[in-house]
Amino acid sequence: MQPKIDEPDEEHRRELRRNVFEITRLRMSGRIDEMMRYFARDVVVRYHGTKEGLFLPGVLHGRDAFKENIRLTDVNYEPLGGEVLAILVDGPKSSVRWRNSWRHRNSGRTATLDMAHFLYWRNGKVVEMFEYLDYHSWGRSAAEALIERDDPRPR
Amino acid sequence: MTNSEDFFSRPPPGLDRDEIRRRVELLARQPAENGDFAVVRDFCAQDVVCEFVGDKSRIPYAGRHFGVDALLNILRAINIDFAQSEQQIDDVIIDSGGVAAQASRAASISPISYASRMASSSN
Repeated sequence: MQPKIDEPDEEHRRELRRNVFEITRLRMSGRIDEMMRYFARDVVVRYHGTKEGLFLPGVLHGRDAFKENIRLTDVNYEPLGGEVLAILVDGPKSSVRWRNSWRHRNSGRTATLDMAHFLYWRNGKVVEMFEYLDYHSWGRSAAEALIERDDPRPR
Repeated sequence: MTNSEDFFSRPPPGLDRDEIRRRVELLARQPAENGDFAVVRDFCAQDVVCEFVGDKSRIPYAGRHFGVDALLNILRAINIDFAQSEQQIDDVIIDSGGVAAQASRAASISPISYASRMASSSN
């Protein structure tokens, strides 16, 4: 049974931590349908990306639009590895800071990004998400920060 | 696989939530109107670790730095390059000793810094 969201007890906090960690793992292993189970049908996704590269600023409404944007991303970029650096939970609010690496499918160039996501939960689902990111560049420092693939692809 | 419960649990902060929130709001409003970062020195440990994520070939302070003096030097350098205003905190998440904040500020490159960069690029 889902704990009441307005009771910030430790079990609720642990469950949200597990959920957030699982979202990052499913994203980088390409298991998007499984990942979408954590998001409400009418989720609002707010991207605060830089104005260069693929991850552009904008707002998406609904799980279908969110999933389609991930599909378009993965057409161009292969997700490699990811590493979660911190997860915080505060009642129905959570944030995750993580680092992930991507390879452009045409050029083969790799990029590593640090991302912060703020996820707001209601009845066990994410109803709103904010994304912030910074690039480690495409150059030598990107190679230094690269995280190799850490999870097998789905068969 | 990482045990997320153990890995992400945090030690008690030694401060109550209201005080943490107050300090976060003060830090977000730095620098003060006189350009001073005294609050940063007050609230950060002497051996604080800070990390600025970015392209090291374009952002000189990108990377990990140790100590409050290094942090203050970077903040002052940013404040020389950019005029900052309209600092605003949209949300704060407090989990034991960890804090995440969504914050924004307006920044414009200062005329002196812009002229200096133009001179550098034309040499």
